[in-house]
Amino acid sequence: MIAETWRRVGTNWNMGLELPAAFVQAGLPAPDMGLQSNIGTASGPHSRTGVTDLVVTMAPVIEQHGVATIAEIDPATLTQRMLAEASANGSVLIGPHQIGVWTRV
Amino acid sequence: MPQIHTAASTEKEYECGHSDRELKRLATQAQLIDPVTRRFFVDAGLKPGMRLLDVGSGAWGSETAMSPIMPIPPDSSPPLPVSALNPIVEQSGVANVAGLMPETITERMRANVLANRSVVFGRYEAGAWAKVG
Repeated sequence: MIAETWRRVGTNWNMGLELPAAFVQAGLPAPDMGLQSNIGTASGPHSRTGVTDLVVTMAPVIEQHGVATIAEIDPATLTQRMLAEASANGSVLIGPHQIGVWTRV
Repeated sequence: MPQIHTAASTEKEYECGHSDRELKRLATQAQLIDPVTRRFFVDAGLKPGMRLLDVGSGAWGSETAMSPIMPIPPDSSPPLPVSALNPIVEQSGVANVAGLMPETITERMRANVLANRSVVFGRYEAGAWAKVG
């Protein structure tokens, strides 16, 4: 839902992967990179990945671009419903993959 | 005084806007990924006295992750709109380039590096969220 909305809005969804090229194009030394994420179960300390928070904030934009309606999202219960489903299924939750890119000049 | 480049009003607007709710969400997100950001900073060799250009800083959520490494400016409590950052980055030597669009990122980074930044750091999500059931 998030990815499809960004695509329809025209936001670059893969900027993290394009940062090294952007650094080089800016005349910077070739950067180092890292990839990190949070992972856990619905009852664990990393159960809150921030994904549902983003969906709630984006809900008007999501609806505006025809991806889903606010009624379908039901922002007030979204986090609770997703965690309940993950718990019932014994799911593992993986948070957004964070790409870090850095260089020194 | 180095010139600080932040998002310009002529650029594409951030789709989620800068409402109180969105700024709070960005602050919450920054807290969630603080350990990740801190590991990146350690890996990058960030040390006190270095001048950092934080590319894509959002509502400047990096300051908490940075706090064990570099002093935190006194007025930097999140959430902050991007437009309010200039006085803070002038004091701290930490510059941000937020709200970047691909067509402007190269020019802005080049300008900021010329303004004597010693470390350039960028962090974006990989665009892949997964749930394994």
